Amino acid sequence: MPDLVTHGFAAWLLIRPQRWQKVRLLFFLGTFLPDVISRPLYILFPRWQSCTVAMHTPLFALLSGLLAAEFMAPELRRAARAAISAGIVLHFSLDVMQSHLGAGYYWFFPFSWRSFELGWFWPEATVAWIPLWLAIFTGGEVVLAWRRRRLRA
Amino acid sequence: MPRPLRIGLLAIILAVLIWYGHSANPAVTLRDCLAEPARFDGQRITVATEVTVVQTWPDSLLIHQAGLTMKVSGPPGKARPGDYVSLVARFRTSGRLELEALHPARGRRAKIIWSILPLLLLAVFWLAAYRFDVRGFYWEERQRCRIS
Repeated sequence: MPDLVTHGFAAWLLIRPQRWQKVRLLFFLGTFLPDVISRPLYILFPRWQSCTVAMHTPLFALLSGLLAAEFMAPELRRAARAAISAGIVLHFSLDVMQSHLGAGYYWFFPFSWRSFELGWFWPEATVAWIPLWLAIFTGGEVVLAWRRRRLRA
Repeated sequence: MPRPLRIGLLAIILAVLIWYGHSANPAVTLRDCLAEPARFDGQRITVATEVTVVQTWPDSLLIHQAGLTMKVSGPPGKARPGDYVSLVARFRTSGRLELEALHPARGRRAKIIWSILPLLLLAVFWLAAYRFDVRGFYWEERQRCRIS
C-alpha cells in the first residue's frame, strides 16, 4: 500500500467539490478501510499475518464497507454504501500501481490466488511525496476557505 | 432483509473469508519451511512481511521475522541493520536461505508513522460531523440532531 497520506490526498482530489460534502467522510473512510482492517493487526502481531491475507482483498474490503454502512443512520445508509465502496475502489486503484517482490495482492480472492500489479513504484516510495501532498492540500483548503468568505461578504 | 440479519450475515461471510485465507493460502512461508525442512528443501519463498535486518556481512545477512531469526546467504546490498526488507530466496535444509532478490524498504517506518495522521484527522472530523445513537446503534449526523 502507499502511505495513507497519499491515499487520503487522492481521495481529497476527487471528493473535494462541494456537492460531495455529505458523503466526503464516508468516502475517506472507504479509502482508508482496506489498510485499517488489515495492517495494524500484522504490524503489531506479525505472527497473525496469515489471518490477515483475506483482509486486504477487494471482496473482503467491499463486504467490510457494507458492514460499516450498516452502522450509519437509516437515511444515510444507501449513500454510505456507495461512498465507502467508491473509496475502497480508489484505494485498490492506487495499490495496483505498486511493485512487490514475489506475489502482490490477491485481487480475485477467494476465487483465485493469481496476482498482478503495474509495478510503477515501491510501496514506501510515496513517503517522499508527502510534503508536496500536504502543501497542496493545505494551500487548496486555504484558497477555498478564502473564496467562501469572499462570496459570503 | 432486517438489519440484524444483514449484520450477522456479513460478519459470518467475513469470518469465513478470514478462515479460508488462513487455511488455503498456497504461499509457502519461512515458518512452513522451518517446520518441515526436508519437505521444503530448495523451495523458492518470498519473505516480505515485517522483515527486519539484524546484522549484515559482505556476503550475507541475518534477518528477523515474527520471532524467527534466519541467516541469508547473499550480498546485503544497501540494507543496513534495522532496515525493513523484502526478499526472495531459496530455503535449504541446513537452515539457510540463498538470496535471489532483495529490496530494502527504506521509508517503511516513516510510512507507518505518517499513516497515523490521516486516521487522526478522519476521527476528529468524524466526531465533529456524526454522533453515535446508542439506542439505534448507528452514527447519525450532528446537524440533523440540532434541527430536530
